Amino acid sequence: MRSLLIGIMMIGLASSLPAQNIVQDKQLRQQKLKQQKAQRQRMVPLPAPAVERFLQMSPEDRERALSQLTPERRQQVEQQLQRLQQLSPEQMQRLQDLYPAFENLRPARRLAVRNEIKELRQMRPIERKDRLNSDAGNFSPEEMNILRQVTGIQE
Amino acid sequence: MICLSKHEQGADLLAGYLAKTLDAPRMAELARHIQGCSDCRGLASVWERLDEFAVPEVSPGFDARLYARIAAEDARRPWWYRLVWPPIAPAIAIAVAALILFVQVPAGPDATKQVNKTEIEQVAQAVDDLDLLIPLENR
Repeated sequence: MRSLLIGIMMIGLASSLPAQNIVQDKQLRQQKLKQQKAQRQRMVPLPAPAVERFLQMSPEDRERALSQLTPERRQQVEQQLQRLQQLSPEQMQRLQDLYPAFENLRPARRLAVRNEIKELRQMRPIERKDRLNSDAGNFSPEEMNILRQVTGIQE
Repeated sequence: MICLSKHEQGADLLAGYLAKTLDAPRMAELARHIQGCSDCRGLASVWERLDEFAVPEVSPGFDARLYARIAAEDARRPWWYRLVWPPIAPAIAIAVAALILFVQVPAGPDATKQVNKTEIEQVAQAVDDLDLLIPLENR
């Protein structure tokens, strides 16, 4: 009788252990999510609503969405996101000012500015300055402002 | 000869051509090609028109006319719409329509996947742009 009781107690104890683990795991996960949410709230939000929505997704949903990209593209997006999330609040604020101006450009002009920034990024600082000076004829003042802010070269 | 519609960098070249940022020989080459290629001519003219498109100004009194029309629409609503509590009437109509669609045309798994794929591509493009705009000094 005594051994039967001990047996029942052992089984009860053993079966409650995995349940305890699940509860602990859940608590840890919730705590982690809370921390991530608090960290996001402290950060200046990204100016692109689509990206901000993506960052608000649960890790599972984010994973599902990213899995639809090719492996190379996914890696590129993840690296870019990491770089963006490492920006200081001041740097993020500058991006907040810059991105809407870029988004407001007409499609063809946005493409032209995009290409020009790519070109400028490949150049040495001295070449950039010359290039920017010659760009003034081909780009509007708003576009030039974007190019100057990205390169950090003022008039 | 570069054909914008076939070249894998066609969009970039076209943007450079329209912005006049390509080097002189390439500008001349593209100008010659566009003269002779109807596909590229069409492509260039569409982009030029997009660039020139000015959003029309809202005419005076637009708001007043709009609200009057909304009021008139309200008066013309069907009897069943007026029977239910107005704030939830659209929701009920949508729910009924969704139910009918769900029963008759079960959504294929590809439909949602397609939406998600478009969304993630938009996210990826926005991330590209944000990354591109990070000032060079912060890189």
